Amino acid sequence: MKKITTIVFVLCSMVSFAQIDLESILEGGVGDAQTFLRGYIQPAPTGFGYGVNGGWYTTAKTHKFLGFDIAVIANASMVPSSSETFTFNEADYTNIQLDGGTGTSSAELPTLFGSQKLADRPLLEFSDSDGNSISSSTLPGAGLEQAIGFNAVPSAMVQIGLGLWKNTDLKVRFIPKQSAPEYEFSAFGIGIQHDLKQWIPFVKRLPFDVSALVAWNDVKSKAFLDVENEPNQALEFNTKTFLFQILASKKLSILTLYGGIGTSSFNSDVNVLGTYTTSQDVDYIDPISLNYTGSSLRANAGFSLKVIGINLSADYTVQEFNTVSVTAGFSFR
Amino acid sequence: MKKFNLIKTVVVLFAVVAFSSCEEDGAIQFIVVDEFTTSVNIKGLAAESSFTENSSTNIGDLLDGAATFVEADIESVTLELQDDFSGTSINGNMNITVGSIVLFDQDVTLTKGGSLVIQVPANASNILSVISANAVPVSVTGTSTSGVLGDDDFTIDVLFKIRATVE
Repeated sequence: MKKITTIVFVLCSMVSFAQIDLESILEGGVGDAQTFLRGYIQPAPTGFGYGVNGGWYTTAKTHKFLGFDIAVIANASMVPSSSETFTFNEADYTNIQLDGGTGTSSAELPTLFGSQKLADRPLLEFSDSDGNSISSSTLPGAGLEQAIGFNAVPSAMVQIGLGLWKNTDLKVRFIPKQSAPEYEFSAFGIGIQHDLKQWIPFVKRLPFDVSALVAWNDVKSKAFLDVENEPNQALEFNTKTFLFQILASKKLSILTLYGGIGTSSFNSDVNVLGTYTTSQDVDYIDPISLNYTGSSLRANAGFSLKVIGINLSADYTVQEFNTVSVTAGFSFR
Repeated sequence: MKKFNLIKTVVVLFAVVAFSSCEEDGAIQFIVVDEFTTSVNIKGLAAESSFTENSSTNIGDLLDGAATFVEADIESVTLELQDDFSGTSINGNMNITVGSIVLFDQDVTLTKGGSLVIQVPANASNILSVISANAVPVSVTGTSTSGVLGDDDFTIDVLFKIRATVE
């Protein structure tokens, strides 16, 4: 189990990051490595940022006072085909060029969610300050699309909702800090869902529910890349997200249809920590620090089934990275 | 206890999705192109007009983190007559063989301080079969057509540009 959780957290932090030979990328210097990795891993924090904002609600109807629900949420953000490659412009790099490039050439290279095929990965020429160079195929993608037919960034959460006054729900996501030799992980999120219909004359008599939701997540993770040999080498991945949504739902016996429109945003930091030594014996300490932000309009629709308190739901969200969310949980009042 | 079980459930969910994310479409391959230099030191042959030197070139750097060679070709060979040669140039025939593969056998002129780049034809470039323990055996034979070598201790650098597919 320990091994599984280690791998899982490494992967969830930055899918397949372990396959990146960081020392090789650093041969081109920190600046080049930073520029390259920014494009290469971009879909991972973006997909995670949009994905982890899923599953906050499965109905627009708020709980009765002290009613509550507990749910486990799994999200999968679909990586669009446009994010399977990134543009490598030679002019943006000092020591990394396309093999046979002109200095101003550009090419589309696979991202972490791109192709693994050799034919899709042009040769890059890495040069050091002594004029030595080596050319190598650019990094492969994780090969998801070839393997399972689609690309997705996974995320998961545990959430508790509690009914308060004036048809208002407090939603809390909380995973206490989990520490192991290979990883650290914690998550906290808070949301408020408030019934709007009660404030609108006549509308409050209509046979459906309308509410508004604001929610905020903070997910922190750190994966140690080589615990035995390089215990200070780690990948840190922190994400904050914000969601605002207007919701509507209609209950039909055990079935509830729900949907909403709003905005979703994220702010993610990806830091590579520790000391890395290149083949030229150059040491780099904490060499990579990347920040990703994004925001998108979002609209979703889904359904939930509630039988004797057990609540199952699924919805689909249209946004920059479309997301499928499923939840399973228990709901009372 | 309940909290622990919930966390475990989340971890399992992570595992299911993330492990499915880890499928690889076979072994990942890389093409790597690098250059390897073998210095051929010719000693005590000033009165001779030919020489043969055998050595081995380790090309293990091409593997880096990979395990095996899938393909390996020598794209070009560069000959450099080093500054330790007492004359200015050597005219003659050069034969360079890697294992049992003759990369080229032709007349050349080597000039001190200069480089002579010879492109290896595709039908003679494949050296995969002669790689052993990440090294290839190299044999260099030179025959001067302009008389004796006239130097008891000089060096010719032979630089192989190798393109390998590794996985």
